[in-house]
Amino acid sequence: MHLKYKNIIGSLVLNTEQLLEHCLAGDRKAQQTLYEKYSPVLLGICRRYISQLQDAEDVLMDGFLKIFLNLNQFDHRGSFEGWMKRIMINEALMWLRKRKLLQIELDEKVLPLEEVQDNRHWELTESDIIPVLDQLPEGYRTVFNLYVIEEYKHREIAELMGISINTSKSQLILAKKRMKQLLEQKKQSQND
Amino acid sequence: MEQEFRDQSKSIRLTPSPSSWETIRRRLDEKKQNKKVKLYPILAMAASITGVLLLVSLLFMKNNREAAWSATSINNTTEFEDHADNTDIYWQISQLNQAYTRLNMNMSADKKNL
Repeated sequence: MHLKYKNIIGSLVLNTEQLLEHCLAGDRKAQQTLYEKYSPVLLGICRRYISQLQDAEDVLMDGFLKIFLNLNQFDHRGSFEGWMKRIMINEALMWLRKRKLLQIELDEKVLPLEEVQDNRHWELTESDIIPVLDQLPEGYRTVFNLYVIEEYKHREIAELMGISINTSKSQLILAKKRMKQLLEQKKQSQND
Repeated sequence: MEQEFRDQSKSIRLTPSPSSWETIRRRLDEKKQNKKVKLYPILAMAASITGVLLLVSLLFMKNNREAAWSATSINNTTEFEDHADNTDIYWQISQLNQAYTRLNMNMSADKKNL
């Protein structure tokens, strides 16, 4: 069988470990397979942080380039998908930081806020998430993503974003408050 | 709300534009090419440094050898000069040798005549 087709068929049946070995060796076909397998999930992550799809795609490409160039640094202890997700999140944060979109206004840093518990069921679908996130200011959106979805600690968020722990907490409370307003509006418009 | 967000976010899938893989592939190729290109000046520099070191060491060795030769010739000259102090003895010996040779020659001529 022709080597090219053999490679294509071979890469389809490779497991992640074998795929990684081929990617490490610089096999473009294996790298493409890896890209095609994980890019939809990773673009979803980038898009949660960045409001324009084209910008999110640029971040995805930068992230994948970093993944392929630093594949030898993956220590095989945790999951490979988790490692890639962390790279994408860091890339997205770097993109936001470069454009000074993570600068939080002083009046938003104060923390006289008490979190109100809300156990309502919002009946959200995956298509609701991005439009709601797009309506949040960058600071709220990033902290909300990192804390609620990625399940980072406030200490980690503070380090990643270069803010204090209290700022991270206040941003989260404000984000949740704004989020509830948006969801209520959405629900109301659906009822009308 | 948080749990709902978390669950729904994990199932978000967005398909990138078809050209994005091509862009990544091209950038990977460029990086590989750049790595190769970057290696050539390093190799050239290493070769030049080795060449210079070799040249310097050869010159150094040559100088050392010349210094050793000149030292030896100075010693030889000294030895010769030492001998020169006793020239008269050497001259006498050589005169004796010449006389002896002449005597032998004469004796052999006489034998022939006889």
